[in-house]
Parts: sequence; structure tokens; C-alpha cells
Amino acid sequence: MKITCTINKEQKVLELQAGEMLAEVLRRYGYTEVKVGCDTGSCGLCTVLVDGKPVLSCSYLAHRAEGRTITTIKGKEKEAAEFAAFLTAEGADQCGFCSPGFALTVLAMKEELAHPNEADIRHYLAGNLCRCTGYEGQMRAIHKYLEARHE
Amino acid sequence: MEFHQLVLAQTIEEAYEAVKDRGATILGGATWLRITAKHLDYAVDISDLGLSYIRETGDRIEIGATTTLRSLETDSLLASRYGGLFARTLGHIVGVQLRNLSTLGGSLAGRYGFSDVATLFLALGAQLDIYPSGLMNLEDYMAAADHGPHLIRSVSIPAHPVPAAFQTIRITHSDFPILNVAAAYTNRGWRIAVGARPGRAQLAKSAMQALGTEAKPGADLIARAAQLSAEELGFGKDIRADEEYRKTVCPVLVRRAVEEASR
Repeated sequence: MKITCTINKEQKVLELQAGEMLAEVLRRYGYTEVKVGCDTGSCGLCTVLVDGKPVLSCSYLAHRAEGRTITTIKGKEKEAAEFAAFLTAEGADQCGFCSPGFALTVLAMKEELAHPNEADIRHYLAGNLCRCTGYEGQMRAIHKYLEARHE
Repeated sequence: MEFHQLVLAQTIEEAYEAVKDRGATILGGATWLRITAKHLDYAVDISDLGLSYIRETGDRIEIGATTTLRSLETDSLLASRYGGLFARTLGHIVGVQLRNLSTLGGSLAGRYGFSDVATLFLALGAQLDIYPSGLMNLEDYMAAADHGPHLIRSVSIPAHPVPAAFQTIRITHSDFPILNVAAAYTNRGWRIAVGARPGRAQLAKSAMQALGTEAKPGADLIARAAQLSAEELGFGKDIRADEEYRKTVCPVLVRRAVEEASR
């Protein structure tokens, strides 16, 4: 089957098999910035935005993307780079494999929550696992990034 | 996943026919289905049926079957009647990204033992609008062995504020529950649901009766009800905890839930 959708502001026609997940299809079409970790809906690595909302692309049926707007981390390159500078400064990037999904979730949180506190941030990011950092550096980076954005 | 044939239903009648005549599997959020089923001969997608809504209808709040868990968590109408109950209950379920996919109807239709959703809605006295048979209490739906071909169209709960609370114990914040409990005080008395035993959620009827009809039962009544809940329900073992552990934890969570709801 074929679907038409917008990926990172470009209209695309994607050919896919019924039952395929969005992560598989995106990677097949070259969007390899979408990482697949657990492939069971648990780790958040494969996060993309669908119509602005963060979803797990490993668990999103690709045919449902018909007519929708999909954003990968490359579609948020400028904002992601700004945030990444804070991650790097806090030593919170390390292997970096979780970073695309993590950064997209942070950017989605920034849009959804006006002034998130520590608990709000931890709650919003509970679905993003990182096996390197222990999260403390990431939390520092998020706080500093949000503070800088509000200044 | 692989689907041999996929029906993108445009009407509930079309979806029902696919289920009844071809044994099609209904696709809700499909977040659990995709882990448990690698190949489906027939699948029917109901996401185009316009069943994603939360609205007040008379004395009930009606929630469409394909409404996501994240919508329940953040909806202003639900928050106005139930405070942070939905956010506190559903916020344990994996992460925001999964809750933007998982649906209310899928969570209830699966009658999963691990479901926090089923436990909460059971305590709230939820009623299902099932196609084609009509209205059914969630309690009856959860208890029955098999309902034959059907679709959940919507779920309703009381529109007036119901004092209610949810308690759970988990190994980590976003893991499956070892046990979950929801307590609610409705017009007719207390409702206490216990899930993840690890079997599917059930009402603790002796405990509910023991609490009587007062909105603020005394400590003795709460302690008695909590103990009865552990005695009347069955518990079992899985990878997260054994039967004895669950039986020991149950009265603690029931007591906490009733105390919280009656504050």
C-alpha cells in the first residue's frame, strides 16, 4: 500500500506493507536518525513527532501516517543543536544512541508544558531510557536549556 | 507485524462485519498487540471511526474507544471532575510517547491483568457501549469468558465528581504493576477494584460492603475492609511477585486508597 505524508516539511509518498511500523519504514527511506532500541515500546529511542506529538515509531502503525506530519530529529535540527550544546556541556551525551529520541521528547515537552518543574520533567521523560548517563547530567542540561530559553 | 489483509473501516458496521465474518483482529493503539502478535490474517483499523472524544452527556462523561491514554491524562473536563486522578493513575504507564498511542478501548477490550486502566474504570463504575449489543457494565465485561464478535464504541463514567483514589506498587515507576487498587465513593457506596493480582481486575465486594454507606468510614471499618479484600480475592505468582506478597500488599493498598478517597 502507499501513503502520502509530510516528513520534515517535505511531502513524501511511501510504499509499505500492511502491519509495518513507522520506524521500519522511515529507516528504509533513509531516515536513519530514527533509532530503534528495544523494539517493544519501552525505551523511547525511536521517538518521532506525529502532528507535533511524541510517539514511539516502533509501535506506530505506518499506514496511520497517511496525511500526517512527521518530524524526526533532522526536522528540528536547529533546536536540537541548541539543546545538544547543553547536553555536551553537562557530559550528558556519552554514547549518544538515545539522544535523537530524547532530544525530540524534550522539545515536545517544551511546547506542551509552559514551566515544567523537576517532577514534571522526570515524569514527561520517564519513557526515555539512557544506559550511559544516570540521568543527572541530562536533568542539569534540561534545566539550563529551559532557563536559557526563558531569558 | 504483518497483516495478510487490512481493512480500514469507515463505519462501525463495516468494522463489525470484518470481525464477525472474517475473524478480524481490531486495531486499537496496537501497542501491546504488536508485541504479542507477529502475524495477523485479518486486521481491522478503527482509528477513522471518529471515536476519539471526551464529552459530557447528561449525568455521564462519555469517552470514545479510540481516545488515547494521554488524552485522558490531560483532558480538562476529566480534570475538572476528578482532579489529578487520571494523570496520577495513567502517568505510570511507560511514557508519554506510548500513552499518545494506547487507547482506552484497546486497554479494556484486552482485559489485561496488568491494566491500570481497567482497575480505575472498574472502581468508577464504568459502563461500555458495545456494538451491536448495547450497554454493559465493565464489571460484567471483565468477568465474562467470551463476548463473541463485538466492538467497544465508548465508555462512560459518572459526570458528577466522585471521590476516588488509585494506589499501586511497582518495581520501578513505569514498570507493570505488581498490584493496583482503585477505590471510589459513588452514590450507592464504595467500590474497590484490585488488579494485577496478576489476574484481571475484580471488585472486592465483601470489602465494599464492609465499608458501609458513609463517605468517611472510620479507621476500624477501613481496616476490616482492607483485610476482607485480601481474603476474598485470588492472587497468583508471576515474574514480579508471588501470591503471598500480593496478598500481603493488597490490604495496605486498599487502606491507603480508601483513606485517600475519603479525605
